[in-house]
Amino acid sequence: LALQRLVDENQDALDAAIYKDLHRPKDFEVVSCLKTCKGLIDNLDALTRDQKVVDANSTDDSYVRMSPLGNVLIIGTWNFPIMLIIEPLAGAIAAGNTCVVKPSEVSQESASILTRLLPKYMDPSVVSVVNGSVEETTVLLKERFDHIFYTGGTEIGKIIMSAAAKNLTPVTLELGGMCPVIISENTDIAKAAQKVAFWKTLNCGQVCLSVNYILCPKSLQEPLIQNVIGTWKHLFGGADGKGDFKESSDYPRVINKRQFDRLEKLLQKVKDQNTIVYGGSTDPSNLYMEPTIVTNVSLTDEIMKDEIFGPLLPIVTCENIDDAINIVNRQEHALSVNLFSDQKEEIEKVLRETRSGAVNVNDIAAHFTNHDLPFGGVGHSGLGSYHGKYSVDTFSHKRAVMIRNLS
Amino acid sequence: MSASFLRFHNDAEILEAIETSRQTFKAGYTKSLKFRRHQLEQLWRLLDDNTDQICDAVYKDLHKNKMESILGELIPSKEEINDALEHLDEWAKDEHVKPSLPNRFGVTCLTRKEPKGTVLIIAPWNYPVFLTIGPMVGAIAAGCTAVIKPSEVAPNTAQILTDLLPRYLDSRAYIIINGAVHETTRLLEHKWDHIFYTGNGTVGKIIMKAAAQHLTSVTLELGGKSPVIVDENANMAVVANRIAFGKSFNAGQTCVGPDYLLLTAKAEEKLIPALKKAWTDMLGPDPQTSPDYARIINNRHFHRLTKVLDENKSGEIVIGGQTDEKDLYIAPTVIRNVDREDKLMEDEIFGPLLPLIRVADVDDAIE
Repeated sequence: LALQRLVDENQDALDAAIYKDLHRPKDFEVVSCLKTCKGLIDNLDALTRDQKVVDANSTDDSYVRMSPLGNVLIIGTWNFPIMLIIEPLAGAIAAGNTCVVKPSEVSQESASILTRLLPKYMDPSVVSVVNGSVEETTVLLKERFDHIFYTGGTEIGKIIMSAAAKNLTPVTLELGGMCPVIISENTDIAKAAQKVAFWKTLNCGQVCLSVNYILCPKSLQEPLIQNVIGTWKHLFGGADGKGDFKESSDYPRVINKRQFDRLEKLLQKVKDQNTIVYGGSTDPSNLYMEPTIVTNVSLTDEIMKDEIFGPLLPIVTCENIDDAINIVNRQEHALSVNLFSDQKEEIEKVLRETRSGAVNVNDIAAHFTNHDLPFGGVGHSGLGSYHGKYSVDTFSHKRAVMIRNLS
Repeated sequence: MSASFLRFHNDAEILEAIETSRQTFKAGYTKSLKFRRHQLEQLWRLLDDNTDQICDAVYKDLHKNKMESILGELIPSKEEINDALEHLDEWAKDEHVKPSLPNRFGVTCLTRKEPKGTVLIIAPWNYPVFLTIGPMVGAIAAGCTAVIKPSEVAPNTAQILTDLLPRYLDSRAYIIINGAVHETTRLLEHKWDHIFYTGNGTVGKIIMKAAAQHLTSVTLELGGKSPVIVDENANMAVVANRIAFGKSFNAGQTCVGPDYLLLTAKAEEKLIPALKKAWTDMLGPDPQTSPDYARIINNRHFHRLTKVLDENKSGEIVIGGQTDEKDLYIAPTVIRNVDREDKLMEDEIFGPLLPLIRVADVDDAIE
C-alpha cells in the first residue's frame, strides 16, 4: 500500500524524471506500476495462502507454505527505470521479503527520485536503496542474498548468475534478445505497419521487446515501408505530418553518449553494407537519431548480429513462413516472437517450431500488459518470470509441510 | 568397492551423446504426448521386468536389502511414473487466462508449457535408482531429451541402468554417460537447456557456475543438516521409532534424514532408552548381523565418518559406536550433549551418527 501511495502521489514527478532521462513523454510506465500494486494488494491473500495438498489415503495435513525467501537484491535498468524497479519490488514485498534496490545509474533522474521517495514511503528496514555503477554492483554481488532479480543484458546476466552461484542464490534474469516480427502475406499490412512503427520508436527502440528486425515477403516490403513512414509522420511530424521529428516533444532520445556512439557506429556499418530507404540522420548534441528503415539486409550483416536497442529497422525479405522460422531459429531465443497472420496453420507452425519467452500474434509485445501471463525469457533472453502470481512465486519459497500425529 | 568394471565414456562419446540428444529434440517427436506416454510406460516396464537384478545391483553398491530397495527405490520410482502417466494431459495442456480489460474482444491469452530442450541429469549414489529415474520422469513427461550421468560411486547400479535403458527407451532421446569428475566437467562445458543435479552444496555451486556461462536453468537438490526438534512431552516411543528408522535407513545416507536432535535434558533422558529399544526391535541386538542394515557406500565416506567421530571432542557415545572397516559398517550411534560448535555439527553427517544437542526450550532450538 505504501508503495502504491509512493507512485500514486508522485506520478507527475516520476513521469518528469523519465522524460528528463529518456525524452519519453508520459505513457504507460507509471500507470503500469499502479496497476501492479493494485493487483498484488487485491489478490495478496489468495497469492500467499497455504496451498493444501489433498491425499485421500491419509490423515496427514499436507500443504505448501509460500515462504519469503529473505533478502532480495533488485537490480534495475535504464530503459524503463521506474517500472523495472517498482514492479519487481512490489512482488518481492508481496512475498514478504526485505529488499535492496539498485537503480541504474545511467537513468540518473529516475535513480534520484527513487532514492528520495523510497525511504520516505517505505520502512527503511525493509527497503533500502544503493546507488552506484560497476564497482558498487560488484561489491553488492559479493554479499549473500536470498534472491537476485536482474533486468539487463545477456552478458551481465551471466556475470550475475556466476556471482549468485557462489552462494547458491536463485536468480531471475530478465534479459533481451533479437525480437523478430514475422509478417505473413495473409495479413492486413497497414495495421501491421502501424504496430511496427509504434513499437520501433517507443523509447527510441530501447525496449527489450522492441521490433529488432522484420521478416516479410518481398511483395509486402514497399507497402510496409510506406505505412510505417506514414505512421511515424503522424506520431512525430506535427499537425501536417511534415515536421522534423527532432522538434517533436514526443520523439524520444537515445539514453546517453555511449549508447549513441554505439548506434552511430552501427549506422555507419549499415551505410556500408545495406540500403537506407528512410531516415539515417542524427544529431549527437541532442542524442537524436531519426527512425531509420534499412533494406538489402543479409543475415551475416552487422545489423543482424546483436540486439539493436535503437531506432534502426532492418527488413529481411523471405518468401514464406518456413524461411522466416529458419531465420528466427538461427538466433538465440528472443523475448518475444511476433507474428502478423490470420492463418491458423501459420500461427500453429510458429508456435510449434520456434522458442521464445512469449509469442504475440497480430500485435507486438502486448503480452506484458496481461499480468496473468508470465513475463520472462528463455535461454539467452532470460531465466524465470514475473508479473501477478508469477511475481509472488518468483520471490517465494514453496515450502512443503506435512503434519502427522504421534499416535 | 572398486568401480573399475564400470566403463567411463570418452570425450568423443560424450560429444556424440550431446549432439544426438540435441538433434533428436530438434526433430520434434519427443514433444508428442503419445511418445512421452510410451517412454514412461517403457520405463515402468524396465523397472518391473528387472526388479531382482536391480535390487541385486543396489545390494552390491549399498548393502541395501531387497525390501529396502523396493520400498526406497523401486516403489517411489514407479509411483512417479504412474503419477506422470495419470496427469500428463492435465500437466501439459495450455493454461488459458482472461484477456486484460483494454483488449478483451477476440483475444486469446494462454501460457503454453514448452519442453526446454535437452536436459543434463546428474544423479547421486545414495538412492541410485530413484534419484536417477525420478528426474528422468520429469524430463520425459515434459517432452525433453536427456543425457543422464549416474553416480560412479554406485557402479553396479550405474552398470545395470546403462545396460537396460537402451533396451527399453528411445536411445536417441535418452542417453547414459558414465564417468567421474573428468567426464562430468566435460559435460558441463556444453550448453544445456536445463541441468538437474542431486548431490552436495559444494558441487552444486560448481554446477550453477558452469550453467551461468550459458544462462542455463538449474535444479539443485542438495542437502544440509536436517534438525529434529523433540518436545519433552511428546510420545517418546513413537518419536524414537520414527527417528531410529530415519537414521538407520540407508545407514543414515539420506538427504532428508535426521541429522541431529535438539532437545532438553529431560527429553534426552526419556528418548535415549526409547531409541535403544527402537533399534533393537528393528535390527536385533547386533545391527551388523541384521540383513536389514545397510553399509557405508565406500572407503572414502567410511573414513570421513570415523574421522569426524574421532575429532569430535564433546559429548559421550551412549548408543553404538562400533565400526568395522572391512565391512564398511558403522553402528547406529548416538552421541549425547554435543557442543554446538563441535565437529559433528559442521557439515552434513550423511551417516548413522546422531548427535544430541541440549537446548533450553523451543526458542533456543529455533535459534
